Amino acid sequence: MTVKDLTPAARAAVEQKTIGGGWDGRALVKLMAELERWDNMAEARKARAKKVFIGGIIGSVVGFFLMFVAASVTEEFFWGPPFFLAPLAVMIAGIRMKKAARAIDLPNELRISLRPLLRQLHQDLNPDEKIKVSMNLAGIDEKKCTGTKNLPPGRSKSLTQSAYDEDLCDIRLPLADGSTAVLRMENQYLKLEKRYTSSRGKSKSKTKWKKLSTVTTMLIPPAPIEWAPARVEKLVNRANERMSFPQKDGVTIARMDRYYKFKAADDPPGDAVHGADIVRMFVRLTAMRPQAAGGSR
Amino acid sequence: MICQWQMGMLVMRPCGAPATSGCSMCGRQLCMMHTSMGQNGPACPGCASMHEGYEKNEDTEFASTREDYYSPYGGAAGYGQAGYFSSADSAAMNRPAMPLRRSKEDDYDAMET
Repeated sequence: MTVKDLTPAARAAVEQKTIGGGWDGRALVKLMAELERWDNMAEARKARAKKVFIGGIIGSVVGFFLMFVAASVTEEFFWGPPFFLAPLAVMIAGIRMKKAARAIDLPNELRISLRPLLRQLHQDLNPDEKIKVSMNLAGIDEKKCTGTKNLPPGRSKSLTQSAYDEDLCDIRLPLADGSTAVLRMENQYLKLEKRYTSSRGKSKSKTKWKKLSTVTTMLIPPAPIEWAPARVEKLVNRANERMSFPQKDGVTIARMDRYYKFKAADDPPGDAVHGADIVRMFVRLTAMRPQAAGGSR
Repeated sequence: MICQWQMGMLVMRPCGAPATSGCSMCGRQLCMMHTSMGQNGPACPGCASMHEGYEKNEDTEFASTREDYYSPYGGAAGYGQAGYFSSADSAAMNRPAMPLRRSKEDDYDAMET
């Protein structure tokens, strides 16, 4: 699958790493489906690159010793280096493949969060209005660090924390009852680099990643209404969810924020918030509407 | 007669297309699009998703997902009893209350660095 196989809209999204403007519901769902296929292909390439890279490392180590064995057996230095250089070339090819796969990779939120969400809410959309989308598909950029600080090192030599922010999306979904559902997703990546001395006296380093995801869902009614938070009060987990009712243009908006934390070693976490979780947040917001504001009757 | 199948996840409303049959299990009037044929006769997507002998399609999958989302609220004062749903919705969704499923991430402290 190459960029040429994509539709113009998907190609633009992959090349520019952004989706913006007003979208028809069906068109956006189709675009997401196409981008999901693209992302699956990128993930498969990443996995293949990793295998090649690991194969290259193992081959290089084995090849290094074989180099001497071959040179001593043949008594000619010429026969030794290929045993080491060939797997080394494979390892370098693996690094390049990984870089290339990363360049075309899209955020996993597209597959895990947004596509399932849009699929499940497509019947709720007002067909006469456009979905306003502002989506950043560039992913984490390690060159754009928003802050570095030294943490108390404890028993290690040093502990450095670098932060990278990612504003993933702002989507406004016009619903069939005239209200607007808003979804905002933000990620903050924290890279923790620890330098320490091992028991044998060697200087070593370890990298850990944390991904803090914030999902904000809002429901903006078409006219001022009285929300009924008591209906879902018991269904809000105060450990990681916040419910609020901000005012804007004379209308009270129901808002729910939910926080997630994902961890991984070496590479940024690939986990993402599940679309079903976001639907559940919207379900709770809609449940607080009075019947007059557009219940099902 | 119009189709009584409730469409939508957040904003539920009847399909509204002309009804051609009725669900043999819940008695709802159904249009052609929302009728699934199976071993118990015609069924709405909701009943078809819950009974064996019916082919699964996009509508039955959607109905099953919606049921899954709303089942934690089934017995709680709020949804059906507070009048958010129509009586048909309440009848379809009022099941014994289930505890809200909590994911692993729920112990997250937002202030933790």
